[in-house]
Amino acid sequence: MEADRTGGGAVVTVPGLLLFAGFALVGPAAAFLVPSTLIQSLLTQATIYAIFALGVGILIRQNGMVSFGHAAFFGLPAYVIGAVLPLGLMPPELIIIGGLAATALMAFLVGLVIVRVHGIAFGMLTLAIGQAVYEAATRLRGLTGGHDGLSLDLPRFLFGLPLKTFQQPGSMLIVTWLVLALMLAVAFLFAKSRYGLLSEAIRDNEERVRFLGYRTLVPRALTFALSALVTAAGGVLFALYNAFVSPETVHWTASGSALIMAILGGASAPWGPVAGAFTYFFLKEAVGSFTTHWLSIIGVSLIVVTVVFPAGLVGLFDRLRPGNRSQGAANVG
Amino acid sequence: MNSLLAFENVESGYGNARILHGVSFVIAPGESVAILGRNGVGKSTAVNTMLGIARLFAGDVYIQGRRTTSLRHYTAARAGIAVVVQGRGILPNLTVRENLILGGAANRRGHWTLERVFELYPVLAERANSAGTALSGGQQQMLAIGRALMANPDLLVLDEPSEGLAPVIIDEMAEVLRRLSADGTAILLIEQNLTLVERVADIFHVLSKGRVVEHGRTEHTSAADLQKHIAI
Repeated sequence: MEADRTGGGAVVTVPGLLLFAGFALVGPAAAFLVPSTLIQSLLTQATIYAIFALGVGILIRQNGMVSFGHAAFFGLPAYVIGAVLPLGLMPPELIIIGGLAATALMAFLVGLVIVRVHGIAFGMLTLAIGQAVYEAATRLRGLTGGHDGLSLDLPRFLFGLPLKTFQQPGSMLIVTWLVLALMLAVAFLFAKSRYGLLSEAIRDNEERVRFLGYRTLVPRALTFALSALVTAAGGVLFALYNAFVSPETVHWTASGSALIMAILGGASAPWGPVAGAFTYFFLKEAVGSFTTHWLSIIGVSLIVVTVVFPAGLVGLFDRLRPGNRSQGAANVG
Repeated sequence: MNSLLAFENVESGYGNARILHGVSFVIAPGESVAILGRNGVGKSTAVNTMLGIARLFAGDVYIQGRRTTSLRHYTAARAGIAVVVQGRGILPNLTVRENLILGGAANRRGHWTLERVFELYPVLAERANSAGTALSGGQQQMLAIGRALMANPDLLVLDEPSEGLAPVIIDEMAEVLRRLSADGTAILLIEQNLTLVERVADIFHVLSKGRVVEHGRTEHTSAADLQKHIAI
């Protein structure tokens, strides 16, 4: 999918549209063609984490910022759903959409403060925010269930679909894959939009962009909010699939995993973190079946990828396609 | 005060160091003004003061006739003053076309569009999809000027635009700046290259040790005299 970010208005090319349609069909096809429920479940979980990593990747690509606290945005909507649903104040669908909107709004407001700083300082701030959410999740027992977690008492129907659609691996694979395709489309269109152009320019030289007459704080905060919103969409799917959320969901190690996925895939193209998530997930499963030291092997793999392919799988793909100019964040991916 | 940009007894600098000492000058609509001086006399500090980079200790800066107390990086651009900074400031990961598009931040209506810039500099049209930093030095300067024009400025400020360019490229730039001036765009040229100043500017101010030590009209002054002033 391509859009002209300089001509005012999106232009979607036919080959791009066909590629996107083909990608969107992969998940549903897998749901029908893969007979193993276990594999379907793994694919569903990998797809959810791919959406998480995609959100982290948007922040790296567009803002050049690395977050160590995005798990907060992954788990927050789940906690909102779990806390508000029993009150019966509004339809469950509205609570889900409200949870997403609240997360994005919170990220925007937090972003207005923290995107002013760069590099390590920004990373530490996101870590602090993430751990603050984790502490809240563990200590507010009445609301969150503390360390025991919170079971979500979901209704029998959601968005007109039976609840089992969201909790059986095969059907949930279709749902999560379609959401992933939608989020990828959003990420592509954003990157190719004039707003995406502006955020890339700010990433490269914020002062220079200010000299051109732009105020740069709000665009950076909005990109942070978009990144959180995409992550939150993954979190909502996680909550629906498991009907459960626990503090581990918002722990910094979950943020670290998503970051590893994004780096493994490379953030210089929107599809990179998605590819990284699937690689990470299945590498973890494959190695984990042989040894309990799977994390060490993942760590070594990450070192190798970072040294040999600093731009991740996207960089490898670009190397295999000579003459293809790597768009954007070569220095951040 | 009917001016696009005016400095009135400006004292500015960095940290606690004062670089400019009581600098005053005025640029009226349509005028071409040059600020001359050797390296380190405070020429770029004058631009940086307007851009809110240098600290304003005393004096006043007027933009479009208004006394501006809070100078932010984007203040001048939004008021119709486009700046081609020293070193050109091409955004590295963007194409030529994308760099140009970003020049239109203030959404000011006027003569300059992408097509007009491509007419002015056909080489930019030919290389529209190349990375901005893949251009030669001269082409990058064209891109920087083109991007500034995309803002449809009333005043175009150029900080050392001839730096590192071949004489033939400087000649072409002088021709373009003359045409812009003839079309009514005011120009502030921060320069050491006297040939360029002579060809473009109507009025000059010579800076030495952060003070204006000489000023006048270029038509009444020879290059040799200018050189003498700068050497003071």
